[in-house]
Amino acid sequence: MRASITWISHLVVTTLGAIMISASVIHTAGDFMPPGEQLLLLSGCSLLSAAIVLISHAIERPTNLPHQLLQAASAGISTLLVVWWQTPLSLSSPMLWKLALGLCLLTFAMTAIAGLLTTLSNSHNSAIYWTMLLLLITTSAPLWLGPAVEPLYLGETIINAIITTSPLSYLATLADWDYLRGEWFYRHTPFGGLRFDYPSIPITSLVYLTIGLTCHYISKAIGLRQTTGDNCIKPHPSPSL
Amino acid sequence: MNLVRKIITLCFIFILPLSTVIADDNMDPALKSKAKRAADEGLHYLRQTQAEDGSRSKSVGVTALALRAFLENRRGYTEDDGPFITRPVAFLLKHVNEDGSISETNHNRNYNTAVAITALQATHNPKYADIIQNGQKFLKGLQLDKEDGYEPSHKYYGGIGYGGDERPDLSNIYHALESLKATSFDDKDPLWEKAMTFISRSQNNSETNDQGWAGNDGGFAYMPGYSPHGDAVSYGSMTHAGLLSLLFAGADKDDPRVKASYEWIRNNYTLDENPGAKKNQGLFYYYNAFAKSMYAFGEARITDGKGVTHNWRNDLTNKLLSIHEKDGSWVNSDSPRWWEGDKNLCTAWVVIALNHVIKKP
Repeated sequence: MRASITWISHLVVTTLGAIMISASVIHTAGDFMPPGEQLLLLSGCSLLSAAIVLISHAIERPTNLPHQLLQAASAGISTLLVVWWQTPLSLSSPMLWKLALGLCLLTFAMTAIAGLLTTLSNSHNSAIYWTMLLLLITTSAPLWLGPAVEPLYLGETIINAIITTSPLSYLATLADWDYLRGEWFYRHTPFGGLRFDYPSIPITSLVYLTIGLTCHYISKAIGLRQTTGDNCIKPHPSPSL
Repeated sequence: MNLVRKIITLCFIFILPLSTVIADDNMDPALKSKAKRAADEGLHYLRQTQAEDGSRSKSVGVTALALRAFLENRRGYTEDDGPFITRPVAFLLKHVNEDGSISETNHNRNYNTAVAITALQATHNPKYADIIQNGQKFLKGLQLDKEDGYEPSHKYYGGIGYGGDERPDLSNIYHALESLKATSFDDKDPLWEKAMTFISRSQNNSETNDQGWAGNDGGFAYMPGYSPHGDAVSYGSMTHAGLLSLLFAGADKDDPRVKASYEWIRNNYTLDENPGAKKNQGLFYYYNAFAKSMYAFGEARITDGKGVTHNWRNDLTNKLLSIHEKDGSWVNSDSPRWWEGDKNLCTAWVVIALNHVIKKP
């Protein structure tokens, strides 16, 4: 019962967080926003909110797969609610479900990485820090690698790899939005003027699922070895509500 | 009766040669031969790089541009000439989508569809009429207007973008308009007027541009208020694309927007670079648009801002010959931006430009 209440409370907080972040971003953007851009923005805000709220909760039990999957599910449901509420998409829209499922997989991979880092470092804080940093670096890769990509004459394969690495590209593909040629990104990175392909949805989904499962089973294997020795992880106290 | 005969004879003696002089491009004959040879070498290169499925660079856009380069060449290639024409056509037809677009990817659908229907039109094969018509409808559907939530006062109203981003730009609309013109799209359609609104808002001409950012040099930016070369600066490739777009949309030589853009072209006349652009980005796009706009404008000579008169055909040919690769191709060795690191694309751009240099005014 207590676990269910905790899960629901995290779902509510994640959803409210996504709404608040997106409201402030949309308010700043001001002008008319095309539907695809709005979808990407909302799902990006949901990802950020999920990262802030759910990682710390997920790493409390890094070797518990159902626990990890529940966190991922709350990110998916949160996205579903936020996008459904703030856009004209109906609940029968395949795009809405694609986005929700995508967020679910991304969050699963993210929390599994955080779980692995927790197992390896025995530190929740450093696991959260490094996971957030990894998320930030990969998401913004098309931006900060922009100045290097043209002078270095990086080939199409490398350009595609950089774009694929960014979770933003995955979300944009799910939203059917050519974000690198959208107004803001076209102004701030040269990728939009180069030849590239967005990642395939099924393949990227499979990659995130594989990352999540691999990290989970590695942390489970390490956890088992640690529990047989003296170096077991002390359980992190659940936040009181 | 004798007098009538004498008058007719005199007409033949004096007026006919005069009309030839008027129609003459004043091009150096030796240079013209070199231009023809260079175009042949470019086409020879493109024949070699054709894949088994007829494509080039695995792209509908590049394949269509190369196909157009062949079909519009002075040699008058047709589908009867063999697989170097029929296979690219088959490749384009293989990528016709249900929505009317012709594209191998979801995010370049405007460019791809535009150049594909232009190439199909150039085959003069009536079999493709329906595909072309559907392509026209698709391009028209991309135009941003009230239905998409853009009021006429919005800076993007009337524009056309890549086809997946809904952010329009002058380059995309120029290609769309060129293809619609080439395929005889209804010239009474409101599309042209809406397009004119967007084109005008991309020009640095405060007299005709209602946007506050507009400067006054007469050149064109990439889109209203933005240029990839800084702020909203005018640059060569977009100014030639803008001039062509104005002409496609129905403006004539007396239109103040046309006059202003031609003035910019005169004041920034050069073929050594894409004037106003960083690091020679979009150089071959510039050469292509330059040849087409100069041809469409119909003047054999142009006087630059310093008062020097140029034969643009001679200048362009000399420049293109000087950067011609040994294998017959052209490539932008300064910047890969906008796919100009792709030899097939640059070679197709150049051959289309040379076709305009060579053909009669």
